[in-house]
Amino acid sequence: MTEYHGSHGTSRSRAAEIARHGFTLSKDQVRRSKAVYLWKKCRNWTVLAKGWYRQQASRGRLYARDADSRGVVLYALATVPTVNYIDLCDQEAIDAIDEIADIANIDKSDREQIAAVYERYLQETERRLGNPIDIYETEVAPPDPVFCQEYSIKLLGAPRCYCVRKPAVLRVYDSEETE
Amino acid sequence: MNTDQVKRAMRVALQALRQMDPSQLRKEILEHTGGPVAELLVGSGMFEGKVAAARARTDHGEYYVHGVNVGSPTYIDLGTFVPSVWQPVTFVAGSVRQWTWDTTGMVIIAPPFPPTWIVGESWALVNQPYTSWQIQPSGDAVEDEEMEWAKAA
Repeated sequence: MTEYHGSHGTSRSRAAEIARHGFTLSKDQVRRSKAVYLWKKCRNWTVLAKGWYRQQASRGRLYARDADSRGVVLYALATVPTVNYIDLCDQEAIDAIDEIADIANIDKSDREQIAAVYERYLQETERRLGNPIDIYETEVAPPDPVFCQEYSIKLLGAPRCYCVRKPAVLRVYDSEETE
Repeated sequence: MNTDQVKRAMRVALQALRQMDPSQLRKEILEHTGGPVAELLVGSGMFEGKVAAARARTDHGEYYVHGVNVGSPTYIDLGTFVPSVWQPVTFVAGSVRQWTWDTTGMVIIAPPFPPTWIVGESWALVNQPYTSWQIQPSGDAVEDEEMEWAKAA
């Protein structure tokens, strides 16, 4: 078994729901495939989670109906067998995803189609592995600098995140209230 | 860092996907988008500016959708047409996202061929009920003013 630590920015109402019922897969538009997204533990994982929360809150849609829309950073741990994890930052995986998108003539600017390419590749890999991929690692763009000025993409490149496809493997072990 | 077991699986997976028919792979991928998969009954013939319609299934239920073609039939995957025969065609609406109509993922379908089976039916778009829509029984293009109305609906 391997442990994967990540941070997750959200509203306090949603954090309370997570505390009660655990994480659930969101129906909101996602960056990759449908999953719970955590910033991989790193020096900036709190900064990134806060920035993500601020960005979503400022757009007004995600937390607008929450009873308590103030922010919180959750620190969570996913524990899964190593074979249930895949690193999509691997150049071979990146090239594979790009090739699949080309073969299928996918619109590479369309988030849903991008997510679907990831999902199809993961499904095929799962089939060959003979076990589910509960968590994968990938790079994503950081929050807009307006909301996350502490993180310099010029200096650090794109941050990594964990995409947890099986929320049941997640456990929140700490939290930090934010603005 | 991937284990050797995972790396092997990744390679075999890619190989399997490479061997698929590209159009089938595209269809399977687009089905993952969760967008409506519509069944169209379309006519044959190369007409421009026609109105089309379809019944679409989404996570929210079943809806009727329609669209106005503004040009290239390559906006959608219509499959293979048999000249002068009306036929059912399945396509994935995710491929025409530029025609997305509202927040439910409803898609406006824009083939250049009008279906006849919807003639006279009452239609309802999500949150935008209307009943005045008709398509010419002949399958001919609707009048311009109807097309304008459709664009504005």
